[in-house]
Amino acid sequence: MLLQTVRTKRLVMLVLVLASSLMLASQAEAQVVPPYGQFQPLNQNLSPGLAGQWASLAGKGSGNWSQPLRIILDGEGDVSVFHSRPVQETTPQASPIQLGVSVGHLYRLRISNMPGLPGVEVYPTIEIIDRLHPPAGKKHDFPIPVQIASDDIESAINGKLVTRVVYVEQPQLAAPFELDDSTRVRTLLPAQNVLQQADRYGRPVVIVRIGGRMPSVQGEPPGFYGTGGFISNSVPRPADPEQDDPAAQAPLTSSVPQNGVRVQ
Amino acid sequence: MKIVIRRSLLTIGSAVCTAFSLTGCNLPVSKLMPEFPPLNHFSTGSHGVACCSTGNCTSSKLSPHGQPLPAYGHSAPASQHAAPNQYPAAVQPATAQESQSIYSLFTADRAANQKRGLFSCGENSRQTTQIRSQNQAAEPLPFPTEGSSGFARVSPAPANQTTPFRPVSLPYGIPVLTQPAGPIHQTGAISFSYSEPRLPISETGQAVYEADDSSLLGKPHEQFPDEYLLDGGDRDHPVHYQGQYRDGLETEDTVGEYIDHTGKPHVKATNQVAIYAPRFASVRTITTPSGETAIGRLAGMHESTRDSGVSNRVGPQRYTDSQRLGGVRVRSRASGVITREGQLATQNVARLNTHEQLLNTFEGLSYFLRGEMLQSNEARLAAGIEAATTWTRDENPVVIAQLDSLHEVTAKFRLAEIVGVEDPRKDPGRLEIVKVANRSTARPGDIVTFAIRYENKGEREVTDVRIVDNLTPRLEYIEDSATSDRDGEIVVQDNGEGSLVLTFKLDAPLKEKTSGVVTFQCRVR
Repeated sequence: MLLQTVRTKRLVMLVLVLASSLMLASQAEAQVVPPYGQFQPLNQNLSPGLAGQWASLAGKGSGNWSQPLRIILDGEGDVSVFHSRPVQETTPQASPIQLGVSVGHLYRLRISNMPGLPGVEVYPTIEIIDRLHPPAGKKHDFPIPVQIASDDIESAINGKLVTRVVYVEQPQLAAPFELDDSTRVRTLLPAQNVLQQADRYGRPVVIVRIGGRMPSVQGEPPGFYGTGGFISNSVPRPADPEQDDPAAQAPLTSSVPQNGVRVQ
Repeated sequence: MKIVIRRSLLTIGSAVCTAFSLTGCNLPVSKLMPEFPPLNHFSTGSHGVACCSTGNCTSSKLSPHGQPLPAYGHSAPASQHAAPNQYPAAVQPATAQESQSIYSLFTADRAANQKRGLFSCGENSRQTTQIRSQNQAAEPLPFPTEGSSGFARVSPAPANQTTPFRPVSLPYGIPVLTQPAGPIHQTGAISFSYSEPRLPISETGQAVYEADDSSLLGKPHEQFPDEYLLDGGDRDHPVHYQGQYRDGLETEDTVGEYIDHTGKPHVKATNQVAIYAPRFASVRTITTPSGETAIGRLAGMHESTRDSGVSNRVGPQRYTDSQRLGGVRVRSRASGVITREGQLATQNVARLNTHEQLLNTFEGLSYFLRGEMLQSNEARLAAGIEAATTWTRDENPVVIAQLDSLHEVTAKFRLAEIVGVEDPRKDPGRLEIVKVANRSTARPGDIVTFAIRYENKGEREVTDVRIVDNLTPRLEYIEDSATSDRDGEIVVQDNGEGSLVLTFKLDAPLKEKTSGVVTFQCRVR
């Protein structure tokens, strides 16, 4: 019986070694070594929702944080959002709209009533993979801007898939000039990993996919409309920054005593 | 006899101590200052002794009773100090107006500031190309009072005045001039914000978090620096000097440079100012969803084939080899317990026999065994001999005689040999520098006003004071927006990373316990 046990252990070890070697070989084939040596396991060709799922597992959407999002169209148009389970759709509102979304979820939008494109509707998806950390009370003043350009919509109408990754710029890598519509977005080659490049320039927060897919008249499964994340209201406060900044109105506490007491 | 001698010594010691106390030499004279006028003698009431005993010495932090002295602006009147010819002029305290004007800058009392004229005017200020205040001649610098024209005031400069930039006389720095000093521009009343983001405080004194945010513990600008616009401090490589050059001044760094009274250059970093100003950009790809992806998925089926190969086990055929079960019986036969016991018994008997023959003490010596005398045997024999000697030793009484002689110590303390006075200024000049901004959040295009307050906390003046700010690339300096309450220049240099290096240079040395403020404005990119 002892020898049988030893043989069984050897056999298990042999199987484990073979399995691990095969796994390593398959991983080595799957990995694409980036030019600057940083590995990004995700790319734009993976199924929508996977990056958000990984973000949830990584704890990016902590607690019940509702991340304000501002959807901006280049031109005019109405935007509505599919959310929750069972699937619900918000009332279409003119761009831009601002709402709170859950980190780690995929939402599908409907863009309609675009001037110059009568009867055309586009159903892009937005995937929230990270959040912001504004000071207390400033949450709704700093939403993540998701800009959907006109050429993005044109590309989608022409049967192409546009994948756009919005990221927070790394300050040390930020361009030393004010960004405009032409410099705010960089177009990469289709073979490039757009998530990897966004991770190189900053911290990716939102993935936007704009394609020509539309829901069929027979209906679509709930997964087509997103992963069931909730939405909440997000209303920015008045745009007067001076009045908007209570800290700017607060006196500064000096560490130098004046008349024996601290200056308040 | 001993008692008499000790009493004599005590008497002499007390006499010497009395002589010290009468002459005032019980104070430690650490360093003599020949530049100050010598005093005739050290008597009660002279500098250093009488000043500290009255509690009015401005160079001391505590009075003789341990109580803190009043602030600089509220110290005792000059008449209560010692005579003017006994004080060095450099240790005069700051005036009340000075403290009041400095601290009013950091308060939100805009109305009071405007009433005093601080940061108030803007109409009559574009008159010079150099940061120049009205108080050039007075030392110490008087500060604005009621009815003055403004905190950062300017004086007319000659029409044909050339560029105010002068080559840097410091033994360090790289004066690459890209833009000469510009005209000063005065701003209105400014309320400054906290340098770091802080949570609002409730009425009960507790920090108020967002209702649905439980992730922020600690400083958010340190956890998520990409969402903040940071400026100030000394990040990464510290600012330091290598011979004649300064190194380590990176973007965001703000430091104060000065030279103390020994000629040694110093650098002191400010605090870090964090403004919440995230900036977003995006990257995109445009692809055509053709059969490319479908082919890729088919290639992925390859992996399932490999998995089936892994599960092709031949193990079960070998696993049923039941003949090996006989090996279990071998285990009982292979037990060596019986053999081991026998060996132990044999070894015990052999050792006992051997020890009976060798365990005589004298037989350990080779002389007894083989008749030869080894050097190692001598030690053993010597030990035995010494033991025998000790046993037979006769103890004799020992007489110890000691003579104590009396020495007379004579000393003369001549007052004329001590020249100069003790300089009460122990601390060298020490610059403290604080940076604040008037906003805690900003969006691209917003204008942020920064203020840098510097103060010489030491007890000696510092010279060649320069405030250097290497702006982060997202800050664009607004030309002619710099102000200063002291005479000096501003030099604007390109830092090679898309922003500028601002250098505020003070003309006059910074006296002890005095301070100043420079401000400038930047546009957030």
